[in-house]
Amino acid sequence: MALGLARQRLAIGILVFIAFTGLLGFRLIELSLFDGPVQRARPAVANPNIRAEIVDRNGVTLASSFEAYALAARPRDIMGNKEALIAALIRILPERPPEAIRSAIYHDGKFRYITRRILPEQAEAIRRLGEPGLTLEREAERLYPHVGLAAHLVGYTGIDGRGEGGIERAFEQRLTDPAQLEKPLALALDVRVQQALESELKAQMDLQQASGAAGVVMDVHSGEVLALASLPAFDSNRPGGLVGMPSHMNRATLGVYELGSTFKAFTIAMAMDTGVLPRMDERFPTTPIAVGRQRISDSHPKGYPLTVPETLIYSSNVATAKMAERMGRQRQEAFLRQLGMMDRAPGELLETGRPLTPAPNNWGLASVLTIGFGHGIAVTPLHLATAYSALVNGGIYRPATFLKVPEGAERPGRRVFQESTSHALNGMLRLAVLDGTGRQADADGYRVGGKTGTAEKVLEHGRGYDKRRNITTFAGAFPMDNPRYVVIAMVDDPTVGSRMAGSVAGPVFKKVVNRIAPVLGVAPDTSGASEPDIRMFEGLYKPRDPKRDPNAMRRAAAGLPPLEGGVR
Amino acid sequence: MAGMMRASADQRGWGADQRGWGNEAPAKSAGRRTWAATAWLVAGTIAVAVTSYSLSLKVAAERRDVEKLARQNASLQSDLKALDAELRVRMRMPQLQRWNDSVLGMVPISATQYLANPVQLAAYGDPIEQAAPAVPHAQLAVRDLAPAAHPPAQQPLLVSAQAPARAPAMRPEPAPAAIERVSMERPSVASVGIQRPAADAPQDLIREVEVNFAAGGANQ
Repeated sequence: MALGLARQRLAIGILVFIAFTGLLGFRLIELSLFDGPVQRARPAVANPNIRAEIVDRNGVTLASSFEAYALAARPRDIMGNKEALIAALIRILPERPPEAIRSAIYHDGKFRYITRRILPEQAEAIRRLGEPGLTLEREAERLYPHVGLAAHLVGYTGIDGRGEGGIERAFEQRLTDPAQLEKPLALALDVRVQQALESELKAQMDLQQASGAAGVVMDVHSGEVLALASLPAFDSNRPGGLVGMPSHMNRATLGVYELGSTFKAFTIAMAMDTGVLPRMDERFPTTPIAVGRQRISDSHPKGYPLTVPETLIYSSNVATAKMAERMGRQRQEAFLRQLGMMDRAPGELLETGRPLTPAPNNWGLASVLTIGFGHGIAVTPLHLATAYSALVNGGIYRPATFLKVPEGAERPGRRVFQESTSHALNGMLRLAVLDGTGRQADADGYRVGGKTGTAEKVLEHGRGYDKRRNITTFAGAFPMDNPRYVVIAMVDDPTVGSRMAGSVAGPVFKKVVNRIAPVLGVAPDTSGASEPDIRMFEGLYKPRDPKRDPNAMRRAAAGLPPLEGGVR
Repeated sequence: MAGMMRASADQRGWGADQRGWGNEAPAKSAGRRTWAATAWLVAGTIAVAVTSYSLSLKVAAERRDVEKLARQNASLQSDLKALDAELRVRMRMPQLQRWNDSVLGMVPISATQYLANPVQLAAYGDPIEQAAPAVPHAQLAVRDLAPAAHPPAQQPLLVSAQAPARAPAMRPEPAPAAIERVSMERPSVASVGIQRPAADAPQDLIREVEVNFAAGGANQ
């Protein structure tokens, strides 16, 4: 009985063994006949979104990632003929120098890259070579479809795929967070506005053979930066070179400049807010004044005392210096701090410049007076744009942001100027464009207001100024009846033609506004009915063209008769 | 192998033993039952194994197909992304600007091109009662096919031919933020006269030219 049971078990074991062997054989036949070709058809596809996309405020892609490969050699593991392998690689990678391939294959070490960023098709061809001494590493290729547009803002990635500038660097963690790879990073940037700003700045730069240019377009209420230009630029796809090259320096957020008379608007607003300027009709003499070794005079002397609006319209250094003197250092410094002028440039970028201000123990009367008209203090164009936003939006300072603010969301801010002061400055800035130094910036129908700024460049060795080299700036906003956008245009060292801001940066501002206003939904009005209300200045300035005076145009649009003797 | 040979020898021996035990009926029937049970057990095992394996094969095949589809899907997505990127690179803003600067020559819409209200827009068209006498204009448009017979100023203009279609988009409000409004500079009159052989001009084109000519005349 026991023997029979043993025989049964043996028979079962034999059958199971035969069945198992048969199954293995069947599976081998199946694998060789059916499975093989399918698995060799294409390398497994990984998620190419190794880095999240960057898009503009309307969803236009600014940066995206693609699957790519890096090819490396491990010379000691190469099995076949090295010369045959080199010939095969040269055939597959025609763009790679044969010497580089050869040196990598014969490299006297364990590992050496042959090339980075090869196409998937090339990777597949190399894989088919079957050479164990070649290694393919999957990498992400970063593509910037708009090439050099907003290169300094968007930034670029290095050979290892890490962000090395701009948003790519500042948001490295967010862009590589696996949980957010599928969600693009939306910037406040609008590529249409960016293109308009960059192309107009570039055209002026080329026309006047300037060494550089910068520009900012900012929403005054949200602080969103719609465009940020720094020229000369570079191709984000092939950044090349060193980070210290002039083309890699972000002139809008990193470069600090003395932006000249654009500061006069701040000084007048500070003086009005602190109560040292109670009356708009108070007249300030414009005769040159001497402070220590410095002599302050007007670039456009009028020869008679100027009222407060006239001080801004005619850009009087002397009158503004006197206002600053009344205000004093403490209040001036406090206001500048409130406007962010004592801190690094606002925004999320890491390439931010620290303003150059007088040392605390050297902030004497001379510094107070010169800072009053924008000398002796160097800030970035982004500082200026943010401060101008606070000046024209009703007096609320909101730091600049490069990220899109959700619709309807309100960013926190702090009050710097009273609303009435902001309103008065809006009127004065409009008059400075209509009757003052910014006439060439007047974009017809868009009620622009702003201030020119021409500052001499600091000499190379750091002491004194070069009278032949200027930084020309125009800082303005539109529409001045209800400001929505601030535009800063700065051209560095124009050498051909006029070197005054009104003739260099003013036209750039005008062209940019003409191009971006329809895009941004700002409707023009040539009737004059939408001109800012500046009745408080009636009689305090002399209109250059009485028919185009905002007061007169508003009266005409309302059907009222012209004011008799209202203007001088 | 040696074990198998021993097993087969045992099997042979087992058969001889069975013959030797043939006179013991209960033991024989018990042996048959055991053998039948074993056979059933083996057959059942094989059946289950074969069925399970075929099921496993089927599942594996399905999984393979799904994987293949996923791979194809990923590949297509990759291709789609590449094509999309190529398209975006080709229509990049600096390139569009270059085309415009060198070929199209479009300029931003000026403040005077905005209309304040629909009434102002309607003022560009002819009154309805005067629209009927516009038929003679059709004759003018057709006769324009011989441009020498007419002063150039009366030729229909290409730019005015598009005016009725564009007119609604020129309303100042609401201005869509996502659409850049541009307009083409009006070319000189002599350069854009529509000149086409009379025989080739279809009736609907003549009618269109007629309407556009009338509208263009009012729009001058």
